[in-house]
Amino acid sequence: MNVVELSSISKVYGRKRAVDHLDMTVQKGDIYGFIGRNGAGKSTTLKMICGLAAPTAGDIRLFGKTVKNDTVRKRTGMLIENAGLYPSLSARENMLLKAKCLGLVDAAQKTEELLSFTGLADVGKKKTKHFSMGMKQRLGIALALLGNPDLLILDEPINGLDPEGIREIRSMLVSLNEERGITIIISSHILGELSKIASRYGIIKDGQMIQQLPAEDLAKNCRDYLLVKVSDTKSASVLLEEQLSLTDYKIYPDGEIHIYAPCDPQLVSQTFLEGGISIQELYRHQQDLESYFLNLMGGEEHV
Amino acid sequence: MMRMDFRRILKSKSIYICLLILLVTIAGFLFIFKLSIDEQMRSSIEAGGAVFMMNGEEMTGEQLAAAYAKIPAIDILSTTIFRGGFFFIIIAVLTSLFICSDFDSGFAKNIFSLRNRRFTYVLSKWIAMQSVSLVFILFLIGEFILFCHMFGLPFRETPLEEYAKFTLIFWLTGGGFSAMLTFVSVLFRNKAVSVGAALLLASGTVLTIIDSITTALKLDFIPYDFTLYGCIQDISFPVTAEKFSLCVGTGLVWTFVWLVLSIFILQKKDI
Repeated sequence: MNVVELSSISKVYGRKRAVDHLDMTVQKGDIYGFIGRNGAGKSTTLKMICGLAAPTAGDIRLFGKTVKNDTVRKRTGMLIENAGLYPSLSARENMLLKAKCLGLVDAAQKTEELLSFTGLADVGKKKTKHFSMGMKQRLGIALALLGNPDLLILDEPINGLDPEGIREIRSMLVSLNEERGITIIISSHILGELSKIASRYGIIKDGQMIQQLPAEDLAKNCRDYLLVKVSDTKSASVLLEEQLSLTDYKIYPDGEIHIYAPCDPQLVSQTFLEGGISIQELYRHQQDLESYFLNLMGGEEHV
Repeated sequence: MMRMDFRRILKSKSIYICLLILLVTIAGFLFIFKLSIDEQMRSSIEAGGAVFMMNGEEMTGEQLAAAYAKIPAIDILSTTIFRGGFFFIIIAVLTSLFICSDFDSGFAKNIFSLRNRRFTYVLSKWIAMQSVSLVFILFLIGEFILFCHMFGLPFRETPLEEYAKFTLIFWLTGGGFSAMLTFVSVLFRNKAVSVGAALLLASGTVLTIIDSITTALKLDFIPYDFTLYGCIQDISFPVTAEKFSLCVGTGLVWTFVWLVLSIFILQKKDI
């Protein structure tokens, strides 16, 4: 079942098209990694899913129903940008206020459970304005979990956290997904972290979804290859196929060949040299998510 | 959502501070009345050069007491902090802070992600502030009556019916100001702007400026009596049926207008 379905969603601010005919599908049980550059439209898209912004065009469905349905909205928890907290109130008080808004009967009990789950049980009456960034983010997640949501939407939840904080959030999210079956949409700049937990990815560029693919497919696209730079790619490709029986390769401009099939670099080098093809470069390349993403975005720009 | 708002109100220090300010202000006013008729206190003040006058005439303590005895107590109460707009300023400022802090803090995201129907937000805030306003008025009336007795102030006794009319008039016109500042707050979502607007609008400053300009330009068609501030300016108690209807009607109409505009703005703007 599709938990989230976006059909040709657009959001226009004046003359700027922040989101442009975007389609997105999130299946039940996914940890959906939503990747894009700064200003690509990630936050805008997530806000529209949460009902905080209205789309200019298109349709959003949550659990098969319109996003305007209050019942469906209560099945969704969100942490968009910074955690929205009253600074002069304690963590407990912030939680209780949202619990009242949700109409929870067991507000106090739920509050204690979630504060304990997110490691904030001992904060006492400390006001949230005195919280560290990590504590605020954890409280934001606790707030998002009030009401036992089936869908969790997190916009850059690990921004500003130290490595330990990131690790804690990561294990929390994995636990929520595996043990409670919560579907999670998470956007992040820290692609390395995302690659550790996401089961599916959506890559957005300039307001458009350019790729949606499962983690396994992304792993294939990011796989190792042997990079060989030669003077004559045409002859080289003939040699690869006829003499080495290698067909899993791609030819790029400037004489580059990426050989994905398992092969012995020494054998490849010897074959080319015997065939009269000069080799300018030969090395094994491992592409990580960040490099793959940067290539998709078109170069060395900030994620 | 109302449960959330009422809980926030009870936990809010600013509500109690504002109530204290109002109580102290009324007590201060009554103390000055007491000063004017108490011979012992009067003589020590007069030794410092003070003069007690009423309607431009210097009067003794006994003369002042006799004059006070002709004025209904409720009329005195209305001149303290109500007719001048101080009460409205307090309610308007509290409304601004109450709403703007939702947006400033970002807690509005938690609220609006749960609710598509934004009119529930506007109504909940207004009802919460109206509850505060009613409690304030009742406390102030209670304090006024108590202090009048304590200070032995000789104002003419007021029937309960007049207190009820007083409550309704200032509660509903206060509700109109609260609705107005709800609109300003959801439009600008900025504490500084909203509090500034509260001070200017609820004190009648804006109306006074417009009045001056229109008078200078000889534009007499603007019906100031149908504005929130204008309708209570020349009110006196016991209030006539006509004046009572005007104030109540003005309060209700403007409340409706500003709340509808607030809902409209909230629907149009993203959170």
